[in-house]
Amino acid sequence: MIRFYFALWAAKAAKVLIRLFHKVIKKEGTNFPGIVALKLCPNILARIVKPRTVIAVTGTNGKTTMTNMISDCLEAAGYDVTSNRLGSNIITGITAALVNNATLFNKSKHDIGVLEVDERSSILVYEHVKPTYLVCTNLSRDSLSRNPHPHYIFDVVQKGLPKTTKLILNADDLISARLKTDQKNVYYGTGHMEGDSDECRNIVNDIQVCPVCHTPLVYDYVHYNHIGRAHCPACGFASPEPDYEAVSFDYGTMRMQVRDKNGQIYSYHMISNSIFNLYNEVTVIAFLREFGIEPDKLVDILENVTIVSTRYRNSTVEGIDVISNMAKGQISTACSVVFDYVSKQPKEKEIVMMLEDAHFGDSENLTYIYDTDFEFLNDEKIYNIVAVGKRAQDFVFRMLVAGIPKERLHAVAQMKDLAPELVLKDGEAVYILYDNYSVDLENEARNIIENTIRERKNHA
Amino acid sequence: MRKIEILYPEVGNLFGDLFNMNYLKQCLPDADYIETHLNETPRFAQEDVDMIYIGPLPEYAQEIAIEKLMPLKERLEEVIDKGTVILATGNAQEIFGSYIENDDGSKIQCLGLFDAYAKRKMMDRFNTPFSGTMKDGDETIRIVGFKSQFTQMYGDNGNSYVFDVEKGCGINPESKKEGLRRKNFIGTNVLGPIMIMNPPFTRYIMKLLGVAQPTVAFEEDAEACYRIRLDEFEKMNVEV
Repeated sequence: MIRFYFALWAAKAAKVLIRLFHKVIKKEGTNFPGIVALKLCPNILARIVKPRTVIAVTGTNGKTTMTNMISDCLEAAGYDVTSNRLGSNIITGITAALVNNATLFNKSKHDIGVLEVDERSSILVYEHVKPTYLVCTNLSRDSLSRNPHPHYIFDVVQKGLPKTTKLILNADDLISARLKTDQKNVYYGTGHMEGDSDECRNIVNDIQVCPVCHTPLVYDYVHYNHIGRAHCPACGFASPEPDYEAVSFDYGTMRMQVRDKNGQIYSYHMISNSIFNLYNEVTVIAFLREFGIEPDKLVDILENVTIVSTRYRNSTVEGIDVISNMAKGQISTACSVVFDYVSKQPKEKEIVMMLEDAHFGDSENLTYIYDTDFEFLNDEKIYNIVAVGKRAQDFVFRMLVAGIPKERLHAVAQMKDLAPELVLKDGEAVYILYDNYSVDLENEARNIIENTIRERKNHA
Repeated sequence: MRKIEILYPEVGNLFGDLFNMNYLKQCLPDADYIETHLNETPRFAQEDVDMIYIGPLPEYAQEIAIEKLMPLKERLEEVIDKGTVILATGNAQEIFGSYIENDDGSKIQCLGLFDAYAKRKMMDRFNTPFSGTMKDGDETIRIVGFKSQFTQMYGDNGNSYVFDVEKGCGINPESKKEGLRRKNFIGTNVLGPIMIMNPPFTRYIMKLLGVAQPTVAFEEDAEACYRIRLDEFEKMNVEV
C-alpha cells in the first residue's frame, strides 16, 4: 500500500514538473507520469481507482477522433468525463490518465473515463481496467513493425477482452465484427453509399475468403478495403445486421439519416463528408444511444461537434484553396481513403506529399506504400504531385508503378525546394497530405505554399 | 509464353509483397500470370509452369496453405528439381521447411522440403533493415530491404542460403546466411518488396526465366532509389 501511494504521489509530482518544464524540454511528456508510476509500482493499474464507467476506444483507424468525439458529446450532455485524449494510448498513457483522475487519496475525480487504447496494449490494460463498454472502430492493416495484419490484432484484442464488457462493433468490418460473437454485441454500419462498388477497388482486402469454409466471399457492397457487407455463397456466413445504420446522406445539407434498432430514423448533422468521419459519427451515435442519451438530445449535441483540427484544415489564399489532410503514414488504409477522397474532389489540384517519417531516423520501412492505393491519384485533375523528404524518390517511383505519368511527378529532398515545383493555378486546390509525425512539417509547407501564392500574385 | 503462377494472392499479400508480381508484370508483360486461389488446384500440379510466387500470409492462412500444399509435396519437389523458379517471400518460405513451432511449444508440420524450422514469438515482433550480397555469375549483386517478422528460422542453411548478410541478420539473429535456396527455389524474409527495391535482383530472376538481356520497368528511377538506399545502408549502423 505504501509503495502504491508513493508511486501515485511521485507520478503526480512528475506531472507538475513536466507542466513547469515542458517548454524547456520541448516535449509534452503526457505519459511521463505513467512511466514513473509503473516504474515505482508495476501493479499500479490494479490498485488505482477507476471511474465508475470506463469506455475503451480501440481500432486501427479513428481512435483519437472517436475518443475526442465521445468525450465532447458526453460533456455536452452534462457528464463528468476524464480521458487520455491528450496523452498516449499505450499502458503508460492509460496509467497517466488514471493517475490524473485519482485524488491524492485514490478517489476518482470523475464518473466517466473515455480511454483510447492501443490494440496491442489490450491484454495489459484490460487485465486491470475492465471497460464497461468497448467501442471498436475497425481492424485493418497497421504499422507492420508492430501490428502486421488485422487477424493478428483481432487475436490480441479478443484475448484481452473481459466477459463483462459490452461491445459496440462495426458491422461493416468482417474482422472486428467477429469479436466475442458468443455474447450480445451492438453493431453499427452505414448502408449502401454513392460510389460504393460490389468488389474491392483497393489493393488490400484483408478478408477475401470466408473464415469458416475459405470460399471467396461475395461483397454486396464495399465502401473501401474490406469495409462493406459480404456473405459466403457456400456456407451462409455473413456480416451481422447493424442495430444502428446510416441509411442516407445529403451532402448538400450535410444531414444523414440513421435508423436505430427500433426502426426509428433520426436526422443528424454530418460533421464531415469523408467516409472515415461518417463512420466515426455513426459509431458515436450507436455508442451514445446505447449509453442512454435520448435521440433528440443527441441530434442537438451533434450539431456542434467538430473534429480535431490537426487532422484537417483549410484556408483560401488569393482564390486558391490550401487544404491539409492528415493521411497517417505507415497505415495503408488511412492513406488510401485520403487519396480516394482527394481524387474525387472536383477542382484541379496539386498535391504536396509528406507521408514519410524518415526525418526521425536513418531509414524506415516503406513497404506499406505498396499496400497503399497511389493508383487513385492517377487522375488528370491531379496535374502536379510533389513528394517532399528524404524518401521522395521512393514515393515518385511508387507513383510511376501506379501508372501516373512522369511529367506530373516531382521529388524534392528538402522543404526549401518545394516552392519552385508548385504551379498554383487560379481557382485550384493544393492538398498537403502529411503524416501524424509530420505536423511541424505541415505548418512549414503551408507557410511556403501560402507565401508563394501571395508573392506570385504580387508579382503578377 | 512464360507461365507465372501466383499462389493464394487473396491471403498471401502482406507488406505490399504482391508488388513483386505487379512489378514483374510491368517488366515482363508478355508472360501469362495465373492467380490460384485457396480452393483451386494449383496450375503447377497440372502442368509445368515457369515460375511460382507465394507471398507473406497471416498465420491462419499460412496453416491453410500448408494443408492445401501438403498433398502436392512430391510434385513440388519434382518442380524444384526441374529448375522451376520459385520465389517465396516473408513467412511463405516457412511452408517449405520442416515445421513451425508455436509460442506454446505445439508444432505445425510443414512440407519438409528444407531441413529448417521456424519458431513463432507472437508478442515479439522482430524488425531490422537488411543488406547482403548474392552471386549472379561473376557479378556480385547487392541486396537491400527490411525484415519484419514474428518468426525466426533455425537449421543449417550453410549450403542452401540465398544472401550473405552484410547488415542485419540471416534466418535468425545469430545467422549470417539469409534465406533458403535449392536450385531455383528462393525463399527469403527480406521485404521491400525485394524485386522493387533491388533492380539487379529482378534482372536476375528474369534471367532465370530465360530473358537474355533483361531490363526492368522504369529502370532509371528504380536504379536511382536503389543507389540512394545502398549508400544510406552503407553508412547505417544496424544492431540486431
